Amino acid sequence: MSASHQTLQRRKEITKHLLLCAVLFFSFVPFIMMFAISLKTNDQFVQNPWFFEAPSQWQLGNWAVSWLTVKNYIANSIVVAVGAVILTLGIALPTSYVVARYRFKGRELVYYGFMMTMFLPGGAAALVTTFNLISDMGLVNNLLALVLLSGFGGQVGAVFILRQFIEKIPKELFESADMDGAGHIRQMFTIMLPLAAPIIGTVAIMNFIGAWNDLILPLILLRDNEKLTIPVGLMRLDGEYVKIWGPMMAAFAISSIPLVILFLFTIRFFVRGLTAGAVKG
Amino acid sequence: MAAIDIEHLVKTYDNGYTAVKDINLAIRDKEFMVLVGPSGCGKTTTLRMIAGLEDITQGEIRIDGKRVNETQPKSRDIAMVFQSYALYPHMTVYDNMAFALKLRGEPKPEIHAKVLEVSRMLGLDSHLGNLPKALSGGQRQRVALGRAIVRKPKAYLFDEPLSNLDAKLRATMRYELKTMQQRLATTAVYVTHDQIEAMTLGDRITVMSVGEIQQVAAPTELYDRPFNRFVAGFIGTPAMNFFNGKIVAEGGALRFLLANGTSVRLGMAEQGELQANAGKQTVLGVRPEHLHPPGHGPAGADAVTMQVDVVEHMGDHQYVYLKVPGLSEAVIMKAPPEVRFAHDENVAVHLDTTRGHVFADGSEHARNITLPKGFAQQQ
Repeated sequence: MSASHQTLQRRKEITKHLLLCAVLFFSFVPFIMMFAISLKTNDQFVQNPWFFEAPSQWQLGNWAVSWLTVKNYIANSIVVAVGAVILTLGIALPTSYVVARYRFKGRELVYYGFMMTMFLPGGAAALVTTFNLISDMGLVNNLLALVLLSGFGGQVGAVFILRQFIEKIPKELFESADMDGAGHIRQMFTIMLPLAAPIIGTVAIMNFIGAWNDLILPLILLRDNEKLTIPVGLMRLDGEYVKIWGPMMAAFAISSIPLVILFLFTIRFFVRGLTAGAVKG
Repeated sequence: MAAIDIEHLVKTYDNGYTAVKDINLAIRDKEFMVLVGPSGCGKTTTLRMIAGLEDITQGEIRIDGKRVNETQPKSRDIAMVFQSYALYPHMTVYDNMAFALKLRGEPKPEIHAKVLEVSRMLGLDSHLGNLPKALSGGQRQRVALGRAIVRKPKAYLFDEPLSNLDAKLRATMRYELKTMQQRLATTAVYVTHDQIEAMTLGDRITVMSVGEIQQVAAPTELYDRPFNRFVAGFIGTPAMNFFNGKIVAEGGALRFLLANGTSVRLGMAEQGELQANAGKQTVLGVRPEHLHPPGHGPAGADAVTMQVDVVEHMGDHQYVYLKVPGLSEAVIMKAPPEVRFAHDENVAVHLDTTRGHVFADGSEHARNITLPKGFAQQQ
């Protein structure tokens, strides 16, 4: 390999890395700014909106004040998101097990009928009917309403992803377990769950994030301040006439911490699940 | 320990394809029965019906005299070793072997003792803490075997368990399987498409084709007295040579007239229905070891001139691929190693028809008409 070729390769590598660093930097700018502003008074923000103050000027009290405000919202969001994930997986896993493993008349009809509901208008188009339904159930201003809606809303996507994965588990494993004396429930717990753990983790994380970030449903269904979830709670911090930037950004930062922790602990699952089956194992 | 009886068993899939067509088979207690046949012959489907993994369309399966058609696989008390081993990848060797015992609710110390005993027997005791992925193919096969043995079932079912192993390991595992089965003295049903496995392992062999049983017999019986042309061609490596032609009576003796005009005397001890088929188009079958080069054949065996095409030296013998002028069939002769052959050389090959067979017609499943009347297809 000639020296000029090596130099060219090196330049290419440097350019690639510079580009990646730039993308990474711009992705993190809002995050960094959020932290910087969360440590400022409104005066400091107006004078210097872009950069961190000297550490001696940091308003750590913003975080203490905000924690008192958002801790309830965080707790509510955890209840809703965890509840939604449990409900989603609790129903989607057995459903996926059946449609992936058993051949019965009408199996495809059931599956594709189920999948078709993905194309029904959701979100804003179904808001009025959803509200009426929840109201008729007497669940307005109740976190259970959000758990039910997120849990059931996540079914189709979850079944779609889980079925593909479960179908790839060799059927001999289930047959072997069958002959060893394991019934369906046992096969689900001892064979399917451990082998499908990466994809189950992925589905769980996706549903958790979906429920955590949902704004519209909690906005129309929740009334009392102590029942609000994070997105609605944070929105309400945005004052009508005066914005108190420091505590608001501190609240934003605090509420992003649970998701960051979740992501750090589950990133391996997440990546494995998303790329499962992409290459020969 | 159990006898397995299969009566009028039929399996038709939802798409209308019938994989097993009305078969009857009695597998004796403690017998090693091999089901052999080409792909799609219905052998695996039959095994899966015995296991309970496949629904039965018609007929009945009895284990120890008890009908099991409606019995769940787990309640049949039989163990199966799968072609892919089907080891639980997330469980250690110990857990794989203990799984069925745990499900049965056996006490932990008993499970431990049983797993240790079987793992020692199979040489797996130093691998009990390993996951299957850390084992070699042969070790995985042993774990699969151990998982079946540890349950002490009424019968073992094997679905081509050696087909994923290399040739050397396969030979070793064949030996281990046979000794294991003799030691455990338990009924075993073994499915394979490899006729060497069938011949070496089976107490009896069931040859299947197109969803039907072609013959059930002990290996030597199957080899020496094939019921039809399919069995004759399937059992034996290299396969039996077949010559189209017809039976003719000459001077009180029966001869087989080949399509190129040469004829050989039919010297079978059992003449069966040969006389009755004189004048009809039939097929003569002679195994490669019953073809002999000049000077090596039995006295009185007629010779047919053939041309040497290819010679394969196997060490203690050689296979000579021959062309017969005027015939389309390629012929293989097993010859002693010391005989020298040259390419395109014409050789007078002696056909030892005393060990040959004549089949009723040119069809794949044509009956062997040299067998005595009333010869049982299932023995």
